[in-house]
Amino acid sequence: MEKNQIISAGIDIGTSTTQLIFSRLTLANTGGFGSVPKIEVVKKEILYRSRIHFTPLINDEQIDAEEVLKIVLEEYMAAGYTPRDIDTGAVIITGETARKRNAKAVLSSLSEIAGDFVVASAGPVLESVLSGKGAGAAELSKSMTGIVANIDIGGGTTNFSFFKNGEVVATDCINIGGRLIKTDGERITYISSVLVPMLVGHSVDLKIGDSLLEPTISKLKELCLLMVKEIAKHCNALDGEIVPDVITFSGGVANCMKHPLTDFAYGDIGMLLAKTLNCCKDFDSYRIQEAVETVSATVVGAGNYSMEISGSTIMNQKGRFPMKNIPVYSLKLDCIEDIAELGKSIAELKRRQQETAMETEAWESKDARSMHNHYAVTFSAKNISSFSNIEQVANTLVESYQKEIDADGIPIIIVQNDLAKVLGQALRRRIGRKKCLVCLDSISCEEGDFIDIGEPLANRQVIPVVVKSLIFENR
Amino acid sequence: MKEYKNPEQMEVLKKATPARIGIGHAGARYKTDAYLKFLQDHAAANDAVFEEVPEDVVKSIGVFEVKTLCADKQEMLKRPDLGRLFSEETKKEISQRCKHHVDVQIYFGDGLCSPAIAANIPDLYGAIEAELRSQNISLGTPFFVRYCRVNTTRTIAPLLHAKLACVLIGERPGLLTSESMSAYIAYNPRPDMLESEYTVVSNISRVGVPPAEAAAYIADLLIDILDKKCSGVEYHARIRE
Repeated sequence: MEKNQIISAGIDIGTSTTQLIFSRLTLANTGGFGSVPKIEVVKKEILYRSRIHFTPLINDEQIDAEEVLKIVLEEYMAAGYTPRDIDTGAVIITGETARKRNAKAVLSSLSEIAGDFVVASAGPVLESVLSGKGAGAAELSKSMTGIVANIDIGGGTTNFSFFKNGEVVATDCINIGGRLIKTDGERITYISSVLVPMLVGHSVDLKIGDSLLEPTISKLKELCLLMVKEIAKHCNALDGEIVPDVITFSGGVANCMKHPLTDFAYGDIGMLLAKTLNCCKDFDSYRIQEAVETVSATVVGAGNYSMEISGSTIMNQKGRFPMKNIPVYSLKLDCIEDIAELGKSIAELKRRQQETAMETEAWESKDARSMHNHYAVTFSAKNISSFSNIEQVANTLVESYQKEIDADGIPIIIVQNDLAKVLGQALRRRIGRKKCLVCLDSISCEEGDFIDIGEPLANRQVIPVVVKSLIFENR
Repeated sequence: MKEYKNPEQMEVLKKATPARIGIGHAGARYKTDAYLKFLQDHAAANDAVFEEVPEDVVKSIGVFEVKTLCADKQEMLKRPDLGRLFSEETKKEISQRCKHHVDVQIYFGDGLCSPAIAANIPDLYGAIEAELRSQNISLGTPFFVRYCRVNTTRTIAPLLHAKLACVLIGERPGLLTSESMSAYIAYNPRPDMLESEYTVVSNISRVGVPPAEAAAYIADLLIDILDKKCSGVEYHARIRE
C-alpha cells in the first residue's frame, strides 16, 4: 500500500512560549500521465494546535526540561497521538532560549519521545526561515514581484527572513524581543544581559526593582523606541542590497500589535514594544501586509515547512533511517572537464571533511557522534548528461570511496541536476545491492549545511530531507 | 529587442514555462524576430516528421535495420495500418537475427520524429541496457524499424516470444522540441491487445526528461512490469492499490 499521507509534528520552545502543532501532509505524484513521476507535498493541513504555554524555566539560565516534557506529553494525549504516529517534523528551541545552558539536553530528550523522525535543531538561520515560511511570507512572495520580508518578533530574538519567488534570499537575527525585560505588575523583575550594551550606549538607566511608574515608564518607552529603530535598521539585508517591497510581522509581539491590551498585560514589555511599532513611521516606505500566522508562525513553520521531499532517489538501505545531522560537502563537478579532476577534488574534499570533523569533535550528543563519519557530497552536474559521462563519474566516485564502502559506510550523494536515478543505478551496479547507498536530487543544499534524512515514503520512491544550517552557533 | 519593465521577473516567468510568453507584438501581429523563430521551429517540426533517419545514424548505433510495409514516409503518414505490419520476408529476417524467448525486447522506431533517434538512443538505450543486464533480465537483440508505428509490438513480441516489448519511438514534434521520444511498453503484446495495455513514458529529450535519467526510470519500470505481469491501465491500477 502506497503511503501518501504523513503526520508531521512541530514543537517550538521559544523564549516566552512553548507550542506544538500536528499536521497532515499529503504527497502525490504531480508528474501527470506518461511522465516520469514527481512526488510532491500537495496539501498541508493543521490537525491540532496546542494551547500557547509559557516556556517553563527553572531559572534564567535553564529550561525546565521535565515541565516541557510534561507539556508535550499532555498535548500528545489531548491530540490523540503517540510518538509512533509521527513521521516527520521538527523540535526547535528558538530565540534566547537556545542560549540556555541545557538546550541540547532538552532537545535530545524531546526528540526521543516526539517520534522517530523529528529533528532536534535550533539555530538562527533555520529559525528565521521557518518563521518566515510559517507566517506565509514565502508563499506571498511567489504571488508577486519583488521581495517579501517577514519580521518575527518573539520574546528574546527578532528573526528576519527575506523571500523572492518563494526562495529564501537572506536571513538575519538580532537580540530584540518582548521578554528581555519582565515585570510583575509593580516592578521590573528581570533585565536580560543582552540589553546591557543598548542601555549603556544610550544612557537609559533601568534596574531590576524599578517600580512601574514614571520615570521608569518613559525610560521603557525610550528603550522600546530604540529597539524598533534597531529592527528598522535590519530591514535591508546584505548591506542594503536586499530591500523588501512588502513586510509581514509575526511572533508574539505581532500578535500584540493586532490585539492591544494594557501595557504590561503579559508581565513583560511585549505590549509596549508592539504599541511602539504600531506608531512608528520607520516602516512607512514598505507595504505592510498581515501574516497568515503571528504568534504561531515558527511552530507552523517547524511542522509544515521543515521537510523537503527528494526527487528521483536511489537507496540501498534498510533500518538505518533516520540519519541525523549529516554535514554536507560540495564538490566541483559542473561540466565534462571537471570529470578528469574529480579524483583530485574528492581527495581535497576528504581533507576538508577531516579538518572540520576534528574541529567539531566537541559535539555532545551521541546522535551526532554516531554520524560522525558520515557526510553528504553534493555537486551540480549542470552540464553533464550523457550516459558515458555518468558512468565515468560513478567509476571515480566508487574508486575514491572504496575503503568507506567496504567498511559499510553510507555514501550519500545529492545531485543538484535531475540525474540521481541514473547515477544512483550506476553506483549500485558497481558496489552491489548489499552495500548501502543514498543518491538523490531536487534538494538544494551547500557546504556547511547539515541534513537529516528520514524513512523512505510513497512506496520507497522518495525520502524526506530536512536541510539545516549550523545546528548550534559556535559560542 | 523588447525592453521589459522588470526584466528579472520576466526571466523568472520565462523559466516557469517553455511557452512563448513576453514576445511582445506589433499591432495585431508578432514582431519580426518572434515570427521568424516561430517559422523556424515550425519548419524544424515539419522536417522532423518528413525526414528520413540517415543510414549512418543506424550504423553508428550498431543495430540492423528493417522496414514496415510502407513504401516511403508519405505512405507511412497516410496509412497507419501499414506502419504496424511487416512482410513475411522481413519477419523472417527479424526472427533469424534476434534472440528468442527473452524477458524484454527493446527496439527503436522513427515514428513521427526522425531526429529523436540520433538525439536520444545512445544515452537512453545504453543506460536501460546496463541496468537490466545487472539485474539479470534477459534482453533481446535491438534493431531499428523504419516507417515504424507503435503497434509493431503486436507482431514483434509474438514473433520473438518476448514477454515484454518496449519500443523507443520518435514522438510527434511540437514547436518546442523536434527531437523528443517516447517509450511504449506492453506486457505480452499480441495482435488483439488493447491500446489501454500500453504504459507510456513520454517527453524524453534534452529539454524534457533527459534521456539518461529517463532510462533509469524506464529500467525500473520494465522490471516492475515484468514482476506484476501486466502493463497499461491494469498496471497503474495495481500499483495504486
